[in-house]
Amino acid sequence: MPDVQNRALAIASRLIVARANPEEVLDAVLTAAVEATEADRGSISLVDRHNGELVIRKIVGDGWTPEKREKRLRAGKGVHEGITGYVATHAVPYYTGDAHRDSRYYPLFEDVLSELAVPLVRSGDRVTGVLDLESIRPDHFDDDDETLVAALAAMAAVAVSMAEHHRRERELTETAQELSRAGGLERQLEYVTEAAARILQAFDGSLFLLGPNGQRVILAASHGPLRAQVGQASYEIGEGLTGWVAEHRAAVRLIDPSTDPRWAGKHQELPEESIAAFLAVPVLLEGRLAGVLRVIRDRTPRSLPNPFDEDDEEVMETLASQVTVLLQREDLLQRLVRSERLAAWGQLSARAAHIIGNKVFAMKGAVNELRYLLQRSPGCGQECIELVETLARVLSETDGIVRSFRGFVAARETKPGPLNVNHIAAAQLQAMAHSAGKVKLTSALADNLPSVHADASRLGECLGELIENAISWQPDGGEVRVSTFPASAEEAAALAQVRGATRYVRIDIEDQGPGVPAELKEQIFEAFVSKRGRGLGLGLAICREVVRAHGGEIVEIGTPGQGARFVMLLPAVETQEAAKSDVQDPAG
Amino acid sequence: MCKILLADDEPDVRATIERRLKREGFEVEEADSAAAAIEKVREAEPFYDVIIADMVMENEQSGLEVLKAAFGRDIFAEVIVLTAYGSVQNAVECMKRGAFDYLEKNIPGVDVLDLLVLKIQNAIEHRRAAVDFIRRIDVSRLKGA
Repeated sequence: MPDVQNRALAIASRLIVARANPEEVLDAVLTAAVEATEADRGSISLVDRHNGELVIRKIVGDGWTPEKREKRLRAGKGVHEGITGYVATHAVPYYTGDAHRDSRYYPLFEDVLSELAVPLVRSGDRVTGVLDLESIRPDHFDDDDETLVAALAAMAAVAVSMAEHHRRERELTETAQELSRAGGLERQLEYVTEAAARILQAFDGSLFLLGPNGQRVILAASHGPLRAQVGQASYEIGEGLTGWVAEHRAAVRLIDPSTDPRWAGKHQELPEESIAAFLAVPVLLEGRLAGVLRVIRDRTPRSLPNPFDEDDEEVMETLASQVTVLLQREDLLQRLVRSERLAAWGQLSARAAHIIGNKVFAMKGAVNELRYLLQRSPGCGQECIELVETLARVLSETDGIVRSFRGFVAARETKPGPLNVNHIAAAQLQAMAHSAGKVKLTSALADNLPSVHADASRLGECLGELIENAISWQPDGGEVRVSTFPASAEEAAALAQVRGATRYVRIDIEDQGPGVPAELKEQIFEAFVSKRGRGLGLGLAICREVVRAHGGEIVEIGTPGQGARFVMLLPAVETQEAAKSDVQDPAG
Repeated sequence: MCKILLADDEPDVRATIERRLKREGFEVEEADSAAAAIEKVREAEPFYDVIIADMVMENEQSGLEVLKAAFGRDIFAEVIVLTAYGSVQNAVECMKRGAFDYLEKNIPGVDVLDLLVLKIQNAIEHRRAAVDFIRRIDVSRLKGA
């Protein structure tokens, strides 16, 4: 290779390695190409993806007038103009030594006889621009020139990519800042879809979030035509490309997505024949699916290949992680509001219970006095005595109701400490032994069970209630079995939709009674739902409140007809934390 | 006749307890708040044999405030703290600070007024024994110790 060519390559690559300003790299590349090939003029045009036109960015040589600089050649299948447009459309280099006879030539300059054009290819077949050289001599360019200019064009393409990369980084940073200013989750999520489309120069973007039952992803935000369907448009997990991303928690990047066998064609931002490319990434929350973020590029009005590439996917992953942060923040906020409301409700109820308690006490006192007076007045008949007894009984029941109500409200007032659940289970089984009757109490308590951070007395009451409940359903005898196991976050999420900890302690309470019918499995935990007319039906509701106050959950998963199986999941204390503190042992 | 101070912000509760205590032969004075009770504790002459104070009146600590005032006046004061649902924890705190006893207003299956009368009688015995004991020992020697 002649010295001049070597020097051209050396200058250009030094600039790239020095991470020079992309503009400087383009200038240097073009100058080097013109000098090395001894061309008379040169230009670098970049593709404007919005209209498929080639915009001249850099020029070298004589004869460039403002009109010539402003000339936009078109790129795209069937519509391309000039050799530059042809090269941009087909992503291949091309040269001619007799320009005026070449049907592809567009006569921008009268004196040109030879032209060499090389595409700037970013990745795959996505052309970002064209490096164009012209000569007033015939047959000026040869294969060697093409090879050299292709090498220089590759450097220019890197520079263009770098510029694009910087733009994206800047826009992503701006997006993050803008998100913290945008008010309300709805607006913030919409902003993410807008940003996705803008940064990736895509036609539109949409965000789907996992629905409450975990079976579907539902449209949560879109800034284009789909916007009217927010809250309605949805995909089942596994349905269509969006459902596939949700199911596999993996990205999908496609050209002509409607030809893909997974394509469902349900909810599109554009008619399917107009969608040129599709990119969707999963939104994950603590490793679990929370939604799908997707963008499309349209085909009209140009036919340039416009696929999404790895860099685009990276941008989408960054945006998806922004969605994760937004969802986490919202979740936290809601939990805070809920706990504040509960605290206010608790205070109010405690006060109410106190007032009612005082009234009940006064009434009881009055009834006692009445009973005392009646016993001393010979004129009073049996009927009066019976009425007083009824009053006393009803008052006592009222008292019981206020007491259990107070228990329900107080369920969230916990005084937690590090605790070994096995100790609690053993203590409760021992305490219940005398009232078990014909029912056999057994246990299978796991060794090296992680500790939990819990209120020993509340958790004990809870287990006691569950064991008592299990005994009461087996009046003719049977077995109540209490088991403990360590459980993973995945198991906890799958069993009881409980999240937030990395591992859990699971406590199962099984009996051989009639079990819980499928339609009542949730209802039994609601307050004031009693199936046996025993009290207020607050027992299981209190249990659930207590378990939830500890960040856990309780569900019933037994097979109806074959006994009930209550599963309690409590977040385990992280190992380091557990090692630091002594575990309290309520039994010892 | 034994003199009792009954502090409770609920008129019905006061009426119920007063009626029963009067039937038992006690002299009962009432206070409808911790502040009123504290004033009576400071001024009563002779001092009350037993003070009954509701734990929660103006605030969650009302019973404790009455207790402190009572000991400020007489170190042999006998105070019984009444509690309703959920204020047992505070009553236990009162016990630690020297209350004679505490009584939950609503105990299932128990006639709480009977129990209160019993506790008052025990408190009176306790106070009497303590005062007698102090009378018998040499006060000047106690000061020198």
